[in-house]
Amino acid sequence: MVLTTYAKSTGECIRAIAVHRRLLLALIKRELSDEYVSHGLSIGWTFIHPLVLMLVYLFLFTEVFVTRVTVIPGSGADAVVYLLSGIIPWLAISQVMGRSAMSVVGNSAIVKQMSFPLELLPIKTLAGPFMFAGVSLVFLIAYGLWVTGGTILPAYLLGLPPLIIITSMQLAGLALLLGCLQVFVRDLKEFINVFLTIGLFIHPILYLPNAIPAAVRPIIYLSPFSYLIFCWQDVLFYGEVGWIWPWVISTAFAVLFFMLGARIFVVTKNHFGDFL
Amino acid sequence: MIASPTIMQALELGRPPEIAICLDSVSKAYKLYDRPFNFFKEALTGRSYHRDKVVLSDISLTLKRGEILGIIGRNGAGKSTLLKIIAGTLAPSQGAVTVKGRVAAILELGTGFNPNYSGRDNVILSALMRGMSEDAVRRKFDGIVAFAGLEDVIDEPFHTYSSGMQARLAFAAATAVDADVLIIDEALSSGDLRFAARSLRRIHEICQSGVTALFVSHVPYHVMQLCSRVIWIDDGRIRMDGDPIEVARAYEYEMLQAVARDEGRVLTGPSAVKATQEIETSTSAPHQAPPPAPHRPLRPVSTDAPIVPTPDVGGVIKTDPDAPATQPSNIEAIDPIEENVGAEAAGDTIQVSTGGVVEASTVDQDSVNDVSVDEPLVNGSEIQERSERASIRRVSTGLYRISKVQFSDKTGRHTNIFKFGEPMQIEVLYERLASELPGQSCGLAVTFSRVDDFAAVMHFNTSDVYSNEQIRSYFNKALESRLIRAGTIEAIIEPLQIRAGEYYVSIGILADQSQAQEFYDYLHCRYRIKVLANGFDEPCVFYPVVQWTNGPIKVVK
Repeated sequence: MVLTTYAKSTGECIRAIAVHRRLLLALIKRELSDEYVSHGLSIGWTFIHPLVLMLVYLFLFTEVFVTRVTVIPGSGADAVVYLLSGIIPWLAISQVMGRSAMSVVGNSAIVKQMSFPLELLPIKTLAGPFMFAGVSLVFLIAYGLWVTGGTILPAYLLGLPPLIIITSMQLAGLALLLGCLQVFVRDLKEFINVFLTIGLFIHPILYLPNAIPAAVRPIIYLSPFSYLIFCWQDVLFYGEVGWIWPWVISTAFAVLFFMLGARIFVVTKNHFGDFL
Repeated sequence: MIASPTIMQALELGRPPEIAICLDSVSKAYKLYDRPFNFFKEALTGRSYHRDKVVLSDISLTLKRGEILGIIGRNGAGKSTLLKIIAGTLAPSQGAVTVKGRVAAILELGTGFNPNYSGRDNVILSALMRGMSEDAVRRKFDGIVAFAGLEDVIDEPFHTYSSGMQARLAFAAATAVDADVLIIDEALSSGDLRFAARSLRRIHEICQSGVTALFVSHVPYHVMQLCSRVIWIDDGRIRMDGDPIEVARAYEYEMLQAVARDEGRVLTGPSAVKATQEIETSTSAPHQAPPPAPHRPLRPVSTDAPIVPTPDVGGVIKTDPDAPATQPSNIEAIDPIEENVGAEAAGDTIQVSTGGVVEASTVDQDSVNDVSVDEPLVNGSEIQERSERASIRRVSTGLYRISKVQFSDKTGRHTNIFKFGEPMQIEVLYERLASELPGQSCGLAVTFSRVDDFAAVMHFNTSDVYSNEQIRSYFNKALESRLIRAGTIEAIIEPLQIRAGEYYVSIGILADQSQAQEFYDYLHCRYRIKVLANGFDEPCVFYPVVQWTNGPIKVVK
């Protein structure tokens, strides 16, 4: 019963996106160029930013913090690959959370003045983070192939497509959820900021899960994003699925987030105008 | 207003026009939450955590396809909320909204425009956001730019445009959308005069193309020009619904009243209404002459049912799109001034000097043989309604009161029909109501407004100085005695320089003092006169008195 209403809302949401896909595409194009419009290099910055960041990380982890992360058993790749395979999804998650929360509130004019498929507002905020992550990923894959001499390639080919789908779904649901919650809970943005500040440390990104005291280890497993990061590390670093549970849990969260986000968005979107 | 083709076609085909918009007792109350989070508390617990702010209450409205509805009302009356509910950007708290077809809402110009992008990019994206297909955008793009007149600068960043250019482009882009229902909120007030005219024409075209349109404006003129029906929203309710001119007139009057209130002037209270009513009943009792024609029937406020065509009893030159096209196209008998000439007798203290009440039957049948005076006898309910309507059109301080107004032509006959170029005399009888003595005697202010659109075409004011002030001498008499209880002001307009047509006449008495602003008594568009053509009819409203001579001429030898 409850499930059918959720499924219905989800279907409604997906349909709205599908029907307006051309508009979504135009909005995404605009979203990507928005930050750099009337800049000399314009869309070029979309590539320069992640590349510079990746090079900085590479320099830091190979030249400055060499001793901190060295040998990780069970992988042909080096520590840099491990670190980046956690950092890249985390950057995407944090960018989506930060932007999508403002996606509805920041477009109050459109919400109030136009008959417009509002679902597109949070969804289009995925574009920037995905672009950033995509460029970083290409960099990392190139580096990983070089370091491992190509042995990790099958993992990329088999693992990446499903993982990208799972991640997209999770983030889309999250964007819908945060986008509409922010309308009613204005403090949300601050909670998100706090979470993002500590997020790099409470997720197993810069360390291995078993490298921290057992007493605080459950914290890692409280966050749904830890499992997603495990999955990314499986594909990009280990080159194999070492443990099936992160995949199952991530998939479950993807479905949960998306259905919950779609449901709440569809139910509340008619009331946005009253609160903006 | 010209009926839109769809309705006419539908009428010809003998089937009722399709309903495009239907609002069934729609109410909107904004829920005010002290904290937005209370919305969730409410959703979760089912307990109420909000206060209601009612914006619209029980609005029922049915619009047929092709109908052009104007919405007027003061700020905060709920006009925009209503539009947003129909546009679907707000959900009603109660009631049902049915809108058939695609809706294009122009609630605010320039939504979604980014100043950093070029005009081209902005037009394309905003058109897409308004639901246009890419093909349609490509097809219409040149037309949009041409309409805005920005061909030369369309690729430059939007922020380099002047605000007028920005508004023009936004308007052009917004109105290019194909839609079945078009909603426009105050979009005409931008741009220079030329653009304003052009955008009005654009909206006109759109309205003619058969879409159903809703149109909010503070300018009654626009509403009257564009709409086939007007509703007046006041305090979230439909105050009046019907013929554009009637509704706009009532609205305009109320706005004047509000202005008067702001300026601290007293208004006629209910007692005055009652007095008027009694007097009118008593004066029309003998029925010596046919009483005035009934005025246009106003539609009842509730429009749950489809609107029944209202026959045009008054014979005003108007085409009601609902009415079958059986109406004669030529000008019929004018609605002989709601209450007719001089029917405004009130108060037992007036001294009616001469003539008495003159009825429309005194209209010279020879000079106006195309006029058929065919009026039913007045009945009680009509008097009742008439005096109610009369009462709302009066702004008074209670110091003086206009007791009677008479219009007469060159022969001295009381009439409301005049010929262009001939003299017109206006005689205003007033009485003093207050016991205290005013500082000045009374002056007169008269405005003629064209019936079609309320444009004021002629105004004069006896208390403002004009070089050869003939009129002034008329009321020096009133100055002579401060004990006067009543008096008369006569003004002669000779020649009558407004062209053929029908005009409302507003009459006010005020302190006879230059730049006097406050009326002792003011009757807004209370009288209606008709001016007949005399000689050639010119497409203008005012004909100046011109003297000319032929200068020296050269002749070929």
